[in-house]
Parts: sequence; structure tokens; C-alpha cells
Amino acid sequence: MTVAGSYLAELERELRLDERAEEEVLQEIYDHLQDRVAEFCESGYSREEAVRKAIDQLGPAKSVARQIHEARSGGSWKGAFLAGMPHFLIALVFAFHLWWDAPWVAVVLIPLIALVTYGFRKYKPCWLYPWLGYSVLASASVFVVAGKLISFSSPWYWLMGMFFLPPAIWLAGSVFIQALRRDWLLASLALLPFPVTSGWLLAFEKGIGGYQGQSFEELDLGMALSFVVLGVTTATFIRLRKRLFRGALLLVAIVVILMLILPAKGTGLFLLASFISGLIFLPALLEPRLKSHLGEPAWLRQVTGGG
Amino acid sequence: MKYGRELLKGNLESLLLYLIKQKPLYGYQLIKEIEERSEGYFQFKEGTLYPALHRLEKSGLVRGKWGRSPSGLNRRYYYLTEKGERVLARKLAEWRSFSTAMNLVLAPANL
Repeated sequence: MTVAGSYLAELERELRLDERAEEEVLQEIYDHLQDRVAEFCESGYSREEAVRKAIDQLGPAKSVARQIHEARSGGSWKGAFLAGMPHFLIALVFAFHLWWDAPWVAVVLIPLIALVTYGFRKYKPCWLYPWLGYSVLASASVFVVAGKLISFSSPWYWLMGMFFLPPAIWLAGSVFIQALRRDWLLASLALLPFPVTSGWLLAFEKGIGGYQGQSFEELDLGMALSFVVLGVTTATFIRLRKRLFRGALLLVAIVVILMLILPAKGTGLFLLASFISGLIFLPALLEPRLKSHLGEPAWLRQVTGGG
Repeated sequence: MKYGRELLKGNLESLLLYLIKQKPLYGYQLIKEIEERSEGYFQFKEGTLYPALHRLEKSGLVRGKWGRSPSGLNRRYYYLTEKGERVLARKLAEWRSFSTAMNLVLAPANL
């Protein structure tokens, strides 16, 4: 790869914008480099020297990318509202004990499908990721149900399980990878409902924090509050510009949700905290591996002319 | 020179709005204009120009649009929006009052 190609690839890794915005920014910077290189070549520098000098004038790729990211992120109030909406809808379902009522679940599912489709057509804006997170959760539920069906001795159940399993794995995997390709913080944001729901289930099933003997319906208010926290966290996350603040916000949300799950100090508090935090910050560990595995996108190779 | 850089940092967005108001320009042209008009006084890492342009665009003060340059190449030109015009007028008025006050204080009679 040429020096200019490496510079643009580093910019691309750090920009973490949606695909269309990244293409525009990189094309613009590449055009700028071309103009500067031409100017330096005209004034007597060799092409190699001219490229190095032009890159030096632009400044470190990481710093330029971080500044552009901050300039372009920080969503609108509309984006914050759309991002927080799925959590508030789920909170309503729990608050009014509607989660077992099929028509009310459909009321949540229909806007989910409509908005996810709309978001995909709009180049996957930030507010789409919390919605996508619920498709990961739905896939995980299908995965669990399919696993149970396969465990039955009847071949029909086994076939049904095998039928549902591959699309569930494909959907969850592709959503997670898409989010991770853009920004691990968005992948963490998308995953937020997953550890929260499983944290509640774990606390309930294992009887951690004094939930022994309670019916699942009795947890509804606590779960509704957890999802309100998720909604507020998500809307605030979308409005913030700095990545550091966004990461800190996720941490604070986890602490608040843990306090909601375990109002008194339970014996499994440490276990639950590690489980939830581990799941939320797992994307941070996976992102660099995925990006180095995938290399730069095809359109970036087109921008730099393959070099 | 360091002082000049700091001054530029605080006023870069006003300069960009003013130059874009004269005629739509793309990033490289903006840098050349600033260098030429300031007779080389304002020099900065060019990478800081694009975050500033994107901030202005995000705030709705300018609009970026791809167009052909005179040499036939595709470049991203920036246009001033109505909101940008209003903000520029306010910033220019503020700057003029500030520089008048500075000149009054630093007038030779006061030295």
C-alpha cells in the first residue's frame, strides 16, 4: 500500500461514521492530498517527497479522524428520540404487564420492523443500532427455543429447531458484525438490552438478591425501570459528541441498572456485575481484531486507485 | 506566530464563512485563500480545516456539494446557507466592535 493509502486507511479505521459519510470524507481528504502533491511536484519535489510533505501538512490521521468524528457525531434531538424509543416501548410493555399479550407485543414489533427497514435505507444512522440490538435479543430467544426443540426426542421438533437455528445465528451475527465494523461503542449500545434482560433472568432464576419465591410478573416494575434507564442512556449517548463521554455513560448506566436488579447487596453482585460489564465491553476487544481481519473496504481501494 | 495560531483557532470559522460567502470554495482553495490573503501569516495543520468545515455543515451554516472544478476534477464545494449568512453578519459585527475597542485602547496617544 502507498503512503497515501496507509494514511487514508488509518483515517477510515478511526472515523467511525456511517458508510456514506466516511466515503465522502475520505474522498475529500484524498482530493486535498492530490492537489497538494501536484503543487509540491510543480515546485520541484519528487512525488515521494511531495506525498510525505502533503501528509505532514494534514497532521496525524488519528487526530484528524477524531476531530472529524466529533464534528459529525452528536445526533439531533430527533435521532435521540428515535434511538431511545425501543427501550421506552419495552418499558411500557413491562410497566403495564403486557409482555404476555400478543397484540401489545405486535404493537412493539411493527414499529421495530418499519424503523429498522427505514434506517437501513438511510445508510444506518446511529439511532438505528439500539433497534438492531433487539433483533439480536430476538435471535437469542429463537436460539434458546430452537435449542430446546432440538433436545426433544421427536424428529419433528428436531427439524423445527434446525430450521430456526441458522437464520437466528445469521441475523444476530450479521447485526453484531455490522455494528462492530463501524464502532465498538455502537455495538455495545446495541447489546445493552441483552445483558440487562439476561441479568434479570439470572438474578431471578438463581435467586440472587432476594428474588426467591417471587413470581416473574413481580419483577415487571424493576424491569420497566431498567428499560427507562436504557432509554435515557441511549438518547443521551446519541446527543454526546466525545467517545470518552459515551463510554463513561455506558459504565454509569450499567451501575444504575445493577442497583435496580440488586437493591440490596446480594451474594451474586460481583458475578452479575462482571457478567453484564463483560458483555457490554466485549465489542471493545473484538473491534480491532475484526477490522484487521477485514482490511480496508473495497470502496477505499477505489478511492486510492488500488494503492 | 504561536499567538497568531491561537487567534486563528478562535476565528477560523468566521474566516471560512466569510470566504465561502464571496464564492463557493472547496477545502484546498480555502487554505490557499487564507494563506494568500494573510500573506502567509495564518498557517495551520490543514487537517484542522476539515473538522471546522464539517462542524459548520453540521450546524447548518454551510452546505457541502460535489461539483466540477475548472480543471474538470470532482471537488466538494461549500456554499453558505441563509443561517450561515445571519451568523456571519453577527460575527462580523462583533469582530468590528472588538477591533475598534482594541484600537482605541492601543492607540499611540495611550501608549
